Amino acid sequence: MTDLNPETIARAQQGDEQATREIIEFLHRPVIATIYRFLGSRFQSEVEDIAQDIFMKIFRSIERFDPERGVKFTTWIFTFVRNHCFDVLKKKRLPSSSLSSRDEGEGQISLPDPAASEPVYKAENQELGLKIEEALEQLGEDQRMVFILREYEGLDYGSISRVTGVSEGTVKSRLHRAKESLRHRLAPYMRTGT
Amino acid sequence: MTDKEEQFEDQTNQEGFPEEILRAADELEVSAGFVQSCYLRVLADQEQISAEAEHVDEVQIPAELLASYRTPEPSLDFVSKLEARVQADRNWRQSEWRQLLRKFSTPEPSSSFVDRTLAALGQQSGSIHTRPGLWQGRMLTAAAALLLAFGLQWSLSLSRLEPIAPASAQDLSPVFWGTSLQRQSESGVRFEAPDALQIFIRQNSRGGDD
Repeated sequence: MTDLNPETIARAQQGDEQATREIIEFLHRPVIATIYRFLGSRFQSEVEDIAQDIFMKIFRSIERFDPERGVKFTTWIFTFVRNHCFDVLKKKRLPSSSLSSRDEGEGQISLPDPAASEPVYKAENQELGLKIEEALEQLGEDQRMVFILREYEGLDYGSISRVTGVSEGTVKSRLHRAKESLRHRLAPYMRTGT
Repeated sequence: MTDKEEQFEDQTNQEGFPEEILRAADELEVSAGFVQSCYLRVLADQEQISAEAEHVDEVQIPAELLASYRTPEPSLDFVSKLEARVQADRNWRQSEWRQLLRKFSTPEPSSSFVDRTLAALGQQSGSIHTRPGLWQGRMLTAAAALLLAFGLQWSLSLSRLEPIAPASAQDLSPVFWGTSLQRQSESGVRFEAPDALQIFIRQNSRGGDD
């Protein structure tokens, strides 16, 4: 993932409104996607509120970001995302593997999906998407976060290590376990290539 | 290592052990082979982590499969709503900061301060008329107190003309806040004036008594 222009960050640290907007524009999609993938679709109605809360925290602390320390701004941002998502799960006291709400129609994606234009493709796509979501939710929280940051957001191991606060070796180990688990659970779909 | 063990490891890494647990642990008797078995288990765990880490790139999940799991599109007004919320939060924090600064500025001496000080002086010294040797000294102290009080009021009114509350985008910078505080504390007269006046009077009156 490319990082933001340091000048934009510096201007945002001085309270520049335009720079603030640029940062939100640049980061809101990956932040929302990470929250959604980590918490699952049962949090669909809260995802944007959670994202807003994270951005509020970020902009309240943005003066503390120091590029001299060699940490990418995006890595710093994902630390907030990771910590906040873990807090949300703790507060909700919901087991992360529970999928009971899906059967009752809660958490259905109601927002437009521009890529799924053909009805047949859309139906298959959604079903497969649900299978992947189920498989992800079966992972432990640490493995799930590492997998999302690596496979969906493209963070390098060093950045994930900083976000999660564990060594690169542990990051790789968690990722390996996550992939093994997903490969096992998604095996039927991997064979058919869909 | 199980997920629970990993979570415990993370938790202890982040929070550390509380003192009381460490003290209790010192008093605990453990079996003779505990340290060795624990050490071996940790080693085995580390080896397993290293082995898994080495094979991390061998397992691949097809990107097109992962892409099937789509995330919802953000609302059209998400960015503008968030931007407005961030700005409102900044304004609120600035206003809170200004209020905080106001609390730290010293109050003006009340109009009766000098009268009350003089009255207190009169009570403290007993009957001035019975000690004529001190009378002139008391009058000089009172005059000095009056002059000092007027001088302080004039100094306060001057310093109040300088804006101390930040009013620009710089407000958000802690460095700027620090500077503001420092600027306030540097104008020592504003903070120390009433105390200095009291000390001055006390010292003079005590000197007279002695």
